Formats: sequence, C-alpha cells, structure tokens
Amino acid sequence: MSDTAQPSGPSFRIDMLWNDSRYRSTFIQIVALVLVILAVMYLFQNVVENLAALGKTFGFDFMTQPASYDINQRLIEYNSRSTHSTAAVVGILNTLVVAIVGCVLATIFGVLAGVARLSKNWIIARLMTVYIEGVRNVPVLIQILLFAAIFDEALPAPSAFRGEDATASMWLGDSVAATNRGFYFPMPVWLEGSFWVVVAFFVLLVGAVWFGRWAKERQQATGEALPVLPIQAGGVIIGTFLVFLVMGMPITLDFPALKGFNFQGGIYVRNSYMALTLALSIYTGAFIAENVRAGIQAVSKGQTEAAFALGLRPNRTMNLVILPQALRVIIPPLISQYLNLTKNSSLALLVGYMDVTGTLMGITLNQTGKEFETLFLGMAFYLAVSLSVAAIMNLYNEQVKLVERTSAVGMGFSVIDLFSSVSGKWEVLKKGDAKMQPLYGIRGLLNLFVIFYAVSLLLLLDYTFLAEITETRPSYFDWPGGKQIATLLMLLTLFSTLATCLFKNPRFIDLAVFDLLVFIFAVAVGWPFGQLVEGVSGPVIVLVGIAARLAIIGYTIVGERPNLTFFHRVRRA
Amino acid sequence: MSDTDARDLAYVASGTIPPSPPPSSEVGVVHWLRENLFSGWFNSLLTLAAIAIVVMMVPPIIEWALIDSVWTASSLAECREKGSGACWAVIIERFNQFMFGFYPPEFYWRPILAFLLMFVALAPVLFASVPRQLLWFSLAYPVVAYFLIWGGIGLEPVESRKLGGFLLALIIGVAGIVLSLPIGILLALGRKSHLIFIKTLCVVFIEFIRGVPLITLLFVANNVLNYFFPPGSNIDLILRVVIMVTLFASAYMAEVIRGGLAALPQGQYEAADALGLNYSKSMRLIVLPQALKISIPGIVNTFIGLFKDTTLVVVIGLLDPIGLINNIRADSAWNGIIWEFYAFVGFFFFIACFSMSRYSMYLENKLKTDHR
Repeated sequence: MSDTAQPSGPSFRIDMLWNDSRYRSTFIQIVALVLVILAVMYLFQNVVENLAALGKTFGFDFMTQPASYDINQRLIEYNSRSTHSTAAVVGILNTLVVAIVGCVLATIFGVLAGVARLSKNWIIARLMTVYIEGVRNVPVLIQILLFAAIFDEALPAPSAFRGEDATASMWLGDSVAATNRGFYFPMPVWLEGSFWVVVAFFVLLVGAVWFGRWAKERQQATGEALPVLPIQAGGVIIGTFLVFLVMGMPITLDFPALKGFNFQGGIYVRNSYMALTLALSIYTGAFIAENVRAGIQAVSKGQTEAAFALGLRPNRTMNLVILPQALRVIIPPLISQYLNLTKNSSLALLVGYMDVTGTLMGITLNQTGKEFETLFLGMAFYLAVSLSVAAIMNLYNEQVKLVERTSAVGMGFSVIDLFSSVSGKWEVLKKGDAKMQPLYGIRGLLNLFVIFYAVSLLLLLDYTFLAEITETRPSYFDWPGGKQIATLLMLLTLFSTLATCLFKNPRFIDLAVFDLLVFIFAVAVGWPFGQLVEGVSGPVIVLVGIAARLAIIGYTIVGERPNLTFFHRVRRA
Repeated sequence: MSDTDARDLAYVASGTIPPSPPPSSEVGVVHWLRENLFSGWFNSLLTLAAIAIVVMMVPPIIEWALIDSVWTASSLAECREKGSGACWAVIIERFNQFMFGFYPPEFYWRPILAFLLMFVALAPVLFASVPRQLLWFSLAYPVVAYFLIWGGIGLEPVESRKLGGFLLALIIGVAGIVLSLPIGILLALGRKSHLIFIKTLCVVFIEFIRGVPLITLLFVANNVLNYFFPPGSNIDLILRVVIMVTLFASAYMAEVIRGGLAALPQGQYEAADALGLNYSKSMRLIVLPQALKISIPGIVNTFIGLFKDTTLVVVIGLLDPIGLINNIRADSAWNGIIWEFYAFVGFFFFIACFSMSRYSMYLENKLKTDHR
C-alpha cells in the first residue's frame, strides 16, 4: 500500500516549464508571444520617434485632397482635381483590367502550348519547347520592356496610314489600327433599344444553362443524349440576333478613322497597356503550359485505354475521362499562376501604365510623402485580391476533391449541425464514407441567391467607391469609423457568401448567417441605406435586405434543399 | 512408331525463311515523316505553318545577330556604317560595366574570387564525397564574401552605390537565398507546429508576403524600412533591399520546405518518436535531412525565380543590368541602341536560369528515393 508511487504533492520545479510536456507548449508560446510583443513595441517606438523627428503625422486624410496629377488611361471619370482616393480607384481598376485580360490570354496561350507540346507532331512539339523554355528563363521585366520597345519603335506612325501611297494599313478590314502611339479598336455604340438586346442575351444564356441541366437529367433518366452545345449556342446566337433585328439594329460599331494627325473614334489603348498585357500573358502562358502538360501526363494511360475499351470515341474520351481528371491537377497551380500575373502587373510602373502601383504607391506617395499609409493601402489591395482568389480556389478544390467517391470530408462545425440533429433528416458524411453522391437537379433557387448577393455587392461597391462625392455623400475616407468598418465587413461577407453560393459550398449557410449579422450591425451604426438606390427609402431597403437574407437562410435550413449541401450530406434513405 | 524423319517429308520446311523487310512506307525517313509530321490534314497544315514560321523568323535573326553584326566600333554611328546588323560593339565596350557596375576595375579580382569561392562553399552542401571539414568554410563564406566585395580589414573599401550589373543581381539573389534558408526552415516547422500561436504567426507572415508583389516590398525597403531602425541609424540601401528580399524569399522557401516535410511519410516521424528522440533531435537527425533533400530542386527553382526577380530593383534606382541599359543609352555615343541590350541581358539570364533549371531536374532524378 505504501509502495504505490504517490504523486509527490506540490513539487513544481522551474525546469518543468521546458522539460515537462504538460507545461512546455504553453511556456514556449508565452515566451514567443512576449518576444513578439517586445519586438513590435521596439519597432513601433522607433517608427514613432523617427516620424516625430521628421514632423510627419499618420493619417488617411490626404486621400480626400485633390490629387492634381493626370492619369492618361482610365476607366472612370477622373481629372487632376479629383481626389487621391479616386486616383487610387483608377489605378486599382487599371490593375484589374490588366489582370483579367492577361489571365484570359495566358490561359489561351498556355493551354494551346501545353497541348501542342505533347503533340506527336515533332516540329510543333519542338517549337513549343523553345517557346516555353525561352520565355520561362528570361525575367518578365525584360520581356515587358522589349514589347514596349517593339510597339514604340517598330509600329508605324499615324501619318504612315495617310494618302494614296500609305506605307501602313489597318488590320481586319480597316477596323484595328496599330500605331506607335497606341492601338485603336472599334467601339460598340449602344443606341436606344440596345438594352433589350442585352436583356435578351442574358435571358437566353440562363435558358441555355437550364436547358443543359434538363438535358443532363433527361440523359440520366433515359440514356438519350441530345446535341446540347449546338442547341445552346444556336439558341443564344440566333435568339439574340432576332431581337437585335426586331429592335432595329440598335448596336453599331464606331470604327477608328484617321483625322488630322491622329486616329479618332473607337477605343484607344496605349502601347504601355498592350505591351504589359501581352508580355505578361506570354510569360505566364509558358508556365501554364507546363502545368497543363503535367496535368495531362498525370492521367494514367490506362484511363484512355479503358475509355477506348468501353467504346468511347477519342473526343468523348478527352471530354469525359481525361479532362475531368487532368483539371483537378491543373487548376490549383493555374490559380497561383493567375495570382503571379496579377502581382507581376505591378511592373506597369516601368512602362508608364498607371496601375495602382503607379498612382497610389507612386505619384500619390511622392506628392504627399505618406509612405506608410500609401504602401499599407496598396499592399492591402494586393493582399485582398490574393486572399479572396485563394479562398475561391479552396472552395473549388474542396468541390472537385469531394466528387471523388471515397473522400467525403466532414467539414467541422457548421451552423447547420445545430438543426440537423433536430430535424434528423440529414446525415453528415464522415471521412472515408464510400458513398456516391446522387446528382440532384437544380431547383433554380440558388441562382436567385447568387443574383441577390451579386446585386447587393455591386450596389455597395458602386456607392462606396464610385458614386459622385456630394454634400450628403462624403468620400469614403471621411465617413465615421463605424460606417467604414461596417462597409468593409459587408463587402467581405457579401463577396464570400456569393463565392460559396456559386460553388454550392456547404459553408454557404454559415456565411449567410454571418452576412445577416453584419447587415444588422450596419443598420445599427446607421449606415446610409437610404442613399444606396435612388428613389427607394432607407427603411424599405433595410426591410428587404433583412427579409431576403432571412428567407435565404430559412429556406436553406428547413426547406427543400437547393442542391447546396449535397457534397457533404445525403438524404437518409 | 514410324521412323520417318521429318526431313524426308516434302511439306515440312527444312530451314527458316529469312524475315522479309518491312514495307518501305513503314520504315526510315518516309515513315517517320508520315507518322510524325503528316499524319492527317490538320497535322500537315500545322507542320507547314510551323515550317513557315521557322523560315520566316530564324534566318533574319541569324543575319541580324551574326552575319551583318558589328563587333568593334566606338560609337553607334560607326556601327551603322560598318554593317546593318546588330551592334555588339557596345556590349563589348561596356561588358565590364554589365558585369560589375561601377566597381573599381583594379579590384575586379575581389568579386571574381568571391564568386569562385562560392562554388567551394557550395561543394560540401551539394556533394557528399567532398570532405565534411569544408562545411566550416561554407559557414564562414558569407563573411568572407562580404569583406571581399565591400572591403575592410586591409582591403580597400568600396562603396555600395558602385555595385551594379550582374554582380548586384547575384549578390541580392545569393544573399536572399542563403539567408532565407534558415528562416524558411523555421517558418515551415512553425507552420506544421501544434502550438497555435506560433502556427498563426507563421501562417500570417507567409501568406502576407506571398500575397503582395515583390515590388511593394522593394518600395518598403526604399521608403519605409529606415523608420523601423533606431533614430539616427542610416542603413545602406542594398542592405535594406537584401533584408526585404530575404523576407520575401523566406516565405517562398517555407512553402518549398513544407512541401518537403509533407512528402516525407508519416512513418518517419513516428519512427523518430518511437526511438525516444525529442522534437529537436528528431527534426535534426531524422526529418530535416530527408525533407531538405527532397526540397533541393524546389530550392533551386526558388533561387531561379529570385534571380530573375532581382531585375526589379531597377524601380528603386539600383543599377542592375536593366538599370545600366538606361545608363549606357544616356551616353551620346550609344544613344539610340535598343535591341542589342535586351538581347544581351535576356540571353545572359537565359543561360544562367536555363542551366540551373536543367541542374535542378538532374538533381530531382538523382535524389528520387521512393518511399513506398
């Protein structure tokens, strides 16, 4: 009895902090926390002293002062009397334009080159190897500068297009002019009635999507396959064209034409933009090509052979067997290439294209001397883009992963778990549950949710950053702190809810609840909802907003589920 | 049984017939051409288009770069008189500047020696057959290189702003990678750690750095970093750039090493625990040696990326090869030259990066040990 080892009372020794695994991790973390706090305090102290020595202050009030510099390429109204914040928005939009167009072009180049590199055609495969290796191993900055130099030096001046003996001619039947001053493209002109053409186009597009789903369900039920794509494309194109004719051809093109010393009309794009976009997309395209090649090679040859053995033709083998598997390998590195392109677009500075690096972190920084504030905002912008794209990518990954039969992963705690135990209708799949998820037809409600969140997001963005600054609507940076925070939170939740909804991710429900809370918070701090939509009073918007969100949440939890949580949950048989 | 021999029967072959040669369309050049270049109308079209592109592009480029080019001249005007092609004379005249920037010519031996010693320092890291004692030299190398390049202890000091060209690109790239390696290892281990605070700290740092462009970090080095040091201290611009580039590279390095840690089978961690090793010992003796070995190709790729990205320092006015282009063009003798500079700098980077990427592919094959 007395032999049993008694825990020897309160014998805590100091060395147990790092020797005893019960205390060690806490101890280490506390030490790390203290060190980090000390380091931050030291750096902060230095910053405060240095700023005081220079007589500088910290604050964002400069954002509402006139920028008094010009930006030569802009998407929204801007002149030198506009504020620094408008200049920053112009820069952000310019960055986004380069990023989006660049990503599309890079994907085209990359997929073509990646597939061509695997081609059995010896000469094509070699050419693509030369392109990929040549472009990948040279700094992108040199390529951007090279393209800018080519456009500035090698393209003809506008005067070369003039007269009988013109040495230069426009491309594509006199519609595109490439000069050393920039590129001129035809611009669509929207006359009266064009609105209905656009509406018809989108309605037909939605109809085409619905038709595709209907055809899929029908094929699953009866085994009969319809020529879906031709019907969809034909329907949209012919239908839109018919409306276009009925409305009296309300959309025309404004072609650039040589007038005086320069081209007039059309869309004018500076060479700096063209050089930047082309060089970035060719550079990134080479990396994407390698990803595509790796993805296709990752699908084992047995898959192709099995598909052939089942009697699938090569086209269908590619579409139904190879591509779905290859895409799972290709997409994640593809997204990180998109992010690289977006980050590399900051090199615009060196060819004189005014993106956010050029406006906010360039001229605004130099004019106001607010290094901390401008760099902070600029980095925050890039970080926001990167993180939101990464978040969407994670959602996508979760989705493609879960299509696999055996890897249904429990998602941890969710608001819906609170209800699922009550209603007992739904079963949470555990990791390793080998269940094929049934394919449910979409009820269409999810599309309405998407539209609701998208419209809310656009309205909010428009009001916050783009609407004209008046007495009743001061610039965002002049708002009281609570409203600024509420706006940012609303943008964040709306964006994330929209993304999860688009990807039919089960986290949708959590984010929708969070979005409702943020909305209520915004109402509580007195966010000016009355000014959001002209002609609609504040209380109406608030009521509609809350009612719509409640309806969405309520329907998602208790109603017949719109194909939403099926990746994790199946109806109990 | 019968005793007739098979040889006696007329219908039994008495020997093997030699194999007939394959049809002429199935062998040789013709077959290869048909199989690889003209296997269908689409393929034939592609082949013809590709041949057209090659014929259109390659001869003019060779003509410009080699046949019509001028290799000795003292100004652009003289170049244009001598030939219509590339004016490589400017590269030859300014070659030292492209290599060393404005480093004093009488001390060129110092960076060259530092460059050669770099390989001596790398040897024990990359090759197991080199004596282990050399590792001490590898550890001391950064200090040696610093004193060789900047001077001190008996060597004539050289100012930072005289550094330029590929020397500068190499200094920033190598310093960034070497310094980021230990930080990257710590960050990767921190990200895998169970200690929630440390893990959060590492994740936030890594994601922040990877989320912003290098150019903004260079702006920080140029504009803001000085404020973080005690008042009155004036840190050299190149040192500030190296600090920011190191932070930048260590985030990417951490991800590479995390990939190496993840590629290691769980059994290795468990085996180390089963042997009773504590955390630091299991990491030092079991996990990291294997994980780092797996990561070496990724580290080389990170270095290639960083080496290419060093060209960005031109935005804060450092004289890297691209910065020197503007500098040389400002000289009235060479005003108007464009393509030769881009061709030369691009080709130089291509040679360096391409050979490194081939080397990393070779390493990848050599180091491949299947853990199955």
